[in-house]
Amino acid sequence: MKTTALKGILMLIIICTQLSCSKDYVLESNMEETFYVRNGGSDMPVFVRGNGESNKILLLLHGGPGDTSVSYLNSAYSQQLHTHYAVAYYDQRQQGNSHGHFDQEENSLSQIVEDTHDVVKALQYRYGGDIEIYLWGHSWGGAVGTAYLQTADYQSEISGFIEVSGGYDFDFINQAVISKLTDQAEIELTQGNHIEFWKEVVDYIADLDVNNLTTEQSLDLNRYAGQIERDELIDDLYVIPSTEGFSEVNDKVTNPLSVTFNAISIFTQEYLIDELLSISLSENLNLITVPTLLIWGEYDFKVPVELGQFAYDNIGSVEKTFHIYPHAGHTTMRYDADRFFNDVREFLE
Amino acid sequence: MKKGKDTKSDATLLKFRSLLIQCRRHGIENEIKIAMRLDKKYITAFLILFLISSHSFYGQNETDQFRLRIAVLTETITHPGLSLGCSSILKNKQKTVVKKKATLERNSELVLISKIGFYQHRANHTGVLYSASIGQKRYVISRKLTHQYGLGFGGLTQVNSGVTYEIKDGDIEESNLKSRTYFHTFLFYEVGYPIKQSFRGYTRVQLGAKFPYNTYFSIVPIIETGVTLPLKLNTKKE
Repeated sequence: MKTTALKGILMLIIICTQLSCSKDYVLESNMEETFYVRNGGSDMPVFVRGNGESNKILLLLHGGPGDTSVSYLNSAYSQQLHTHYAVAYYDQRQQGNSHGHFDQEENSLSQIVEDTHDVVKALQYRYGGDIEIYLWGHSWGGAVGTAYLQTADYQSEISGFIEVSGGYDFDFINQAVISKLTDQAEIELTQGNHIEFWKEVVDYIADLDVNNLTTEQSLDLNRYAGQIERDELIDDLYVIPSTEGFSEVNDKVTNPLSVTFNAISIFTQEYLIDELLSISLSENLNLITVPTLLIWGEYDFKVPVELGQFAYDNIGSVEKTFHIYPHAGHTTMRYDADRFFNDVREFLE
Repeated sequence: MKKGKDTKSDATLLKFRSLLIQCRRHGIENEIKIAMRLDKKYITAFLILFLISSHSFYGQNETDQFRLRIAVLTETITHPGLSLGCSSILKNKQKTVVKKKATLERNSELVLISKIGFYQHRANHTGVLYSASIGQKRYVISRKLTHQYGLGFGGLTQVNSGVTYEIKDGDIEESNLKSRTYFHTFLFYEVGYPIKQSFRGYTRVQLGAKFPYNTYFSIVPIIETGVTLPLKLNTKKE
């Protein structure tokens, strides 16, 4: 009796194992899947959401460094994208929900490009080689996307590139931020708006050796840029709808503690921050030949619109489009989700 | 016997260390990683087994000294799980305190707890926890509540949700190993209360760290609520 029961249990386990092994992954209309990609010492989660029936997947390269892809997942612009396309939200190494163990030196832009290539390979392996993969990079993710497309023949695996406020050249960013802050300060001080803040900005910039900025100074400029959006210091800048706030805490997929401690590690160890501040990808923009959609915010003080214009003028793609969203800041798609969805849809179709 | 066991373990550890040194000398990266992983898991397993085995030294004489613990737990509040463990009293000290209104019999126990558990973080990972902790349990015999605080260590294995893909020799494949193990240390505070007869309830708050986590560490907060019941391991009185 006991032997029969044991045999039965064993058979059940074998059947379950076989069933679980034989699962085919297909792009469906309402996807909610998680898988991981392992590269060296890092396990990186990929959360696939949305409607995959179009056979198109947008691979999100999140901002930061130190952010998580999940903070994009529940936003209005993502929810709209999910109705027509599948979006793969991937957390880069040492960021978001990624885990593992490796040396600081193993976290670099080139390493993240290699990781991204592995994610592209995993998507093709999982859903079939005929799927169309579009990179969607925001801010730091725009730099990752630009570096990816400039590496070897990686862009042959990609159907298109959507770059939103991509920070692909930090010297260029610093000069553009200083120029934009100075111009805006003049306007605001003339109009008597937020005098204390803008005077502080003017005084700070006056003390800078603009051609030789330190890491701290670059980060200070970034903080001023962030403060303008956060504290709504420009009347013409739209207020982000409250539903468009960071959503990772509300999303049960993410672990806020891991996200926080990964972000702390990025900023305390500064290895990747130094990497960010030395990014210089302007020279080889002509190597990018895939169809490209560039989207920038008029009031983006973190990565000013001049970088978008330069990218548009210099990338080698025949099919390229550049949109400047009026009244929008750095996370451009959060300011006008409807327009973002329509622009992406037009680009993909 | 215990000493012999330790010596044998030390010898094995030395072998691992020697393997590591050889690997580093020859620049064999993969071997270093494999050896380090084995080394880490080995040390964790060894320490836990050692502590669990100590239950058998201390827990066999009196039935109430050895208790089974079953609990539900939550990791980061929203990730539910279960835990199973056992506790032994290593040392017991009673003290009579005379106060103006009453005389109190105070008890202080040194308690060893070994446990294994898991939690589920939906669409992210499953965590398997195994640990040993040592704590000071204090209570007044005539009162119902007991208080316990202490520290512990062990391991936390994160099993990835879904498939884990890995590129090997240029080809992508599903990895057989879809987990990673971290060291886990923690501090805890526990309140115990009577439920029925020899059954006791407890609520435990545990704040720990897992490391090395990427290039740093991360925090692991756990709240556990459960029951303990005595286990009669050896009825033969000496």
